[in-house]
Amino acid sequence: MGSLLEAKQVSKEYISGTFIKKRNLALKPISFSISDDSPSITAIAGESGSGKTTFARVIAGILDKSSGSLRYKDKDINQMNSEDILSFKKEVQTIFQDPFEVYNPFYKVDHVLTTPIKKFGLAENKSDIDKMIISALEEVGLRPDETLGRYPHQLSGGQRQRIMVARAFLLRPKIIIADEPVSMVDASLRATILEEIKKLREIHNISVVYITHDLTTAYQVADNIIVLYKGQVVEAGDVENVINKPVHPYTQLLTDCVPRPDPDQKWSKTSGDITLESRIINGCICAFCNLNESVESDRKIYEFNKKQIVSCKVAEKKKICTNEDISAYFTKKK
Amino acid sequence: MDKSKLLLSTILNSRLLTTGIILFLFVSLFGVVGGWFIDPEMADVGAGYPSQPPSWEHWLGTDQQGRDVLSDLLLGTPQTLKIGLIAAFVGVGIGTIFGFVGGYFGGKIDVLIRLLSDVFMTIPGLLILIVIASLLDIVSTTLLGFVIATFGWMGACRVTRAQVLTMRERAYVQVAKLNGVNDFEIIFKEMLPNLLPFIAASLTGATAGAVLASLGLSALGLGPQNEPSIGLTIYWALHYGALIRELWWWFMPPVVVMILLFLSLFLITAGLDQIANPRLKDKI
Amino acid sequence: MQPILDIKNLKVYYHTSQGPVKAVEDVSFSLEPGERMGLVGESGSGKSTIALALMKAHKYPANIESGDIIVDSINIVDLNEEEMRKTRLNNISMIPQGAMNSLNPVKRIKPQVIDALTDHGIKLRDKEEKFLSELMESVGLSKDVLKLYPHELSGGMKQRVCIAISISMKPKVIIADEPTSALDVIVQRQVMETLYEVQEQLGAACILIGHDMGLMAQFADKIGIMYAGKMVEFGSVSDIFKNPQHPYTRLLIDSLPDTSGKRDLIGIPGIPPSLLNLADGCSFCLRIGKKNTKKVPWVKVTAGHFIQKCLTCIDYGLRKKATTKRTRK
Repeated sequence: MGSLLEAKQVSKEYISGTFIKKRNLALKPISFSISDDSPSITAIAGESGSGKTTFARVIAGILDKSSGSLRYKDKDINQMNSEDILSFKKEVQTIFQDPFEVYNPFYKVDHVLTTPIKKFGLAENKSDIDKMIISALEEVGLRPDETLGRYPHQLSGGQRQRIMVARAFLLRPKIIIADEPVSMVDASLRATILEEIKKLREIHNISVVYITHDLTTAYQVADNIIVLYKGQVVEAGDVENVINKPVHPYTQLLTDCVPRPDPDQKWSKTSGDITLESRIINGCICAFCNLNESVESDRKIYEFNKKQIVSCKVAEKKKICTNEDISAYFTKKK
Repeated sequence: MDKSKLLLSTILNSRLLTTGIILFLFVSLFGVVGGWFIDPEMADVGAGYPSQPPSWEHWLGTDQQGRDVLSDLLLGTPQTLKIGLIAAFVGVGIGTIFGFVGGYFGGKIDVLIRLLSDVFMTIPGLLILIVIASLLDIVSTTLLGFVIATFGWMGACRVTRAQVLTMRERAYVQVAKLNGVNDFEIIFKEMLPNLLPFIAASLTGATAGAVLASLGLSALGLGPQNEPSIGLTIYWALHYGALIRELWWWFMPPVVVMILLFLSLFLITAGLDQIANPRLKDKI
Repeated sequence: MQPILDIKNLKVYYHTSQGPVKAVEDVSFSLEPGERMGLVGESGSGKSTIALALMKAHKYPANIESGDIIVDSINIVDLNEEEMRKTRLNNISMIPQGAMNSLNPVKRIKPQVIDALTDHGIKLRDKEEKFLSELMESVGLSKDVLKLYPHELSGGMKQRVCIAISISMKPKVIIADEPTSALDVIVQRQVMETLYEVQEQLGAACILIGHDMGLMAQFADKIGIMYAGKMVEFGSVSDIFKNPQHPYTRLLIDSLPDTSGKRDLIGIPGIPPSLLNLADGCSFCLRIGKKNTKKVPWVKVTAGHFIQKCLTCIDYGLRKKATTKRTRK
């Protein structure tokens, strides 16, 4: 058993400004791996500014990391030869959040499907290209005659996002990184797209990293979840544990705020300000850490149980995680 | 196939653009086709009696030196247009390339290009042109076009750079990168087609600017002296005090032609703006 | 009780060169003071067009073809622009979509709040200080916020400023068009609670427009489901969630993910029909490949619970529902 993709203590710092440098540590060092023996779906959850998209882009190789190492099939990304880079680019695919922006308005939607086939040399002649495209579209439940030959604005958001799933699938990747694939799609069309993403794992053995701010879809789609806050891991583990039995006060607040589609399960009446800013006590987002340990400093991660790790004083009595790789605490599906 | 149809219908749907194009064609044809019907010698000094008002023989009269004003105008309009178009194409070409290089690759080269365009923006162009033009012994229309182009690229550069900066972050460029497309193809196949309306608008704008600059230089007597141009006509009209002597048939026609030309260019720019501006495009 | 808002057979069409787009077709509902209603639908279902028509803020080529919009016993369809200007904010006010981005970035919050009032000829003079701090307090903001610029506020605070502006004249009807669409869950909850509180304080009727059924369940008393320009189901929140009658509503509720056990997610098949030159008959049948060209009647199920009852598709998705709750090992 080895790992397909392995991120070791990767972090990302944005530096802006020409003369006076402003530094923003968007992602604190994090270790994470995707094993090659069984495909997995991992959710990365958090609010805007939590670093979840940065994390996705770093492990997809779209953004350069500031520190740490990223290995694909036991080869360091920075020391790969051009052949390995090509296979990494082909086998790790990304689905973007915005199903409108990903299309060049100048071209028909076919453009986004034919380009990768030509560029990666997947098919030689026109009829093979067409066959590949048609089978990929059918795979995501689209009728080729209703989609091909149209301009992006002639299709619905749901159709467009499914074409993007088809594009990723076309390249037979090993890993798909889906960056909020349904947040800009109508609620009624989300289920279909998420079901396609689940199918990628179940039928085609593709591992998925599902970036989201929506804990209910994370629960339905993923096996395991990592909750990020300000670029740092707050809680991680099996979705059953983290979402239904959260330990960290921040995760509890997040799950509490999910509007449940059940009129009998209404939000409890809260009084006053529930936002995070008002909850920070001594620089921590939870009321438990009565230390001068600020959110900014490195925090210890405790092993709450075999399938749940928490970075909070509330779990202080538990032992500190020995394995820095978060995925060591994940549930493996066979 | 249907791409060109779409383009055609977009153009035809824009009343501003169609009017502008028709007017522009009219002005250019006036010069080009009109030139076939006249004897070029009519525009030479002494072709008729000096300072005659319009008559059957000279439809727009003659100037102080006996040139036929209509012939002079018909021969001068294409030359003026030529200066404008050369300056616009060269200027916008350079500007677009600089804009793409700076916007897409960023870093030091971008800082350099931005610095260069800012410096050129602040220098009063006409002043430098006057210096350059007075240094050159014989100015041809082509040379004048190139000289004007050195001060006509900054606008296109800025527009392109700004557009490329936003486009570079667009998800479709990211997707193209994931699809294995290289930088060169991203610029030409993914970005450039979306910039065409902007570039076309820059071209028409730059043409108007260049024509104006050439008129200014010629009116000061620094333009091409050996070929007829509208600027030269205006120069002679000013030189001989046509305005004070109320020789309206001499100074009015070039002014009218220029007004029509500027109007047509303005309409085209406005029409292209309407097409390029997505907020105006999405009208139901 | 006398309804504060009564919409009768409202039709709003967009007139395009290819024919009319029937964005709102024959929609009727009414609200009593203090009631909260959720208006749910996909993009293009006509929900936002209803909101614009209620404010008479719709623009050409949209046109109110027929129907009545009665706010506090005045039919606003008949009002001219000047009379309507006075009615807005005073009787009926709206928090438009993306409202928080419509705050003027170069003005402090205070003049932006006051502008709305002076527009309606209200001069606060010495009462200003007290009025504004009370207004801010009602949306859970400190009065110091008044001195700030929009960029100094978080998204949630900006949205609450917008709520404050819209309730500054104590309107009788508040329309909120996706007020939390760009906000994170925690802030979303806070904004919704703020809206809930001010609405209760004022005793105003409120229409929440959106596509998140979770929010609707949390907020609304009544729910109207919009589909292809028509209201296909209207009822109390428990009618809709516990006893949905229209197949579209059923599918909408079944497609919602929850956290009480993993299951296969069932999406709604097909795509909504184009509203351009839409023929009479059942629009939902078109989506699932059936056909019913007869006019679909608006039928009462129980008291206060209505559906567009099309016999061709009424059972669609019923059998599927039994297998939906299957838990995966």
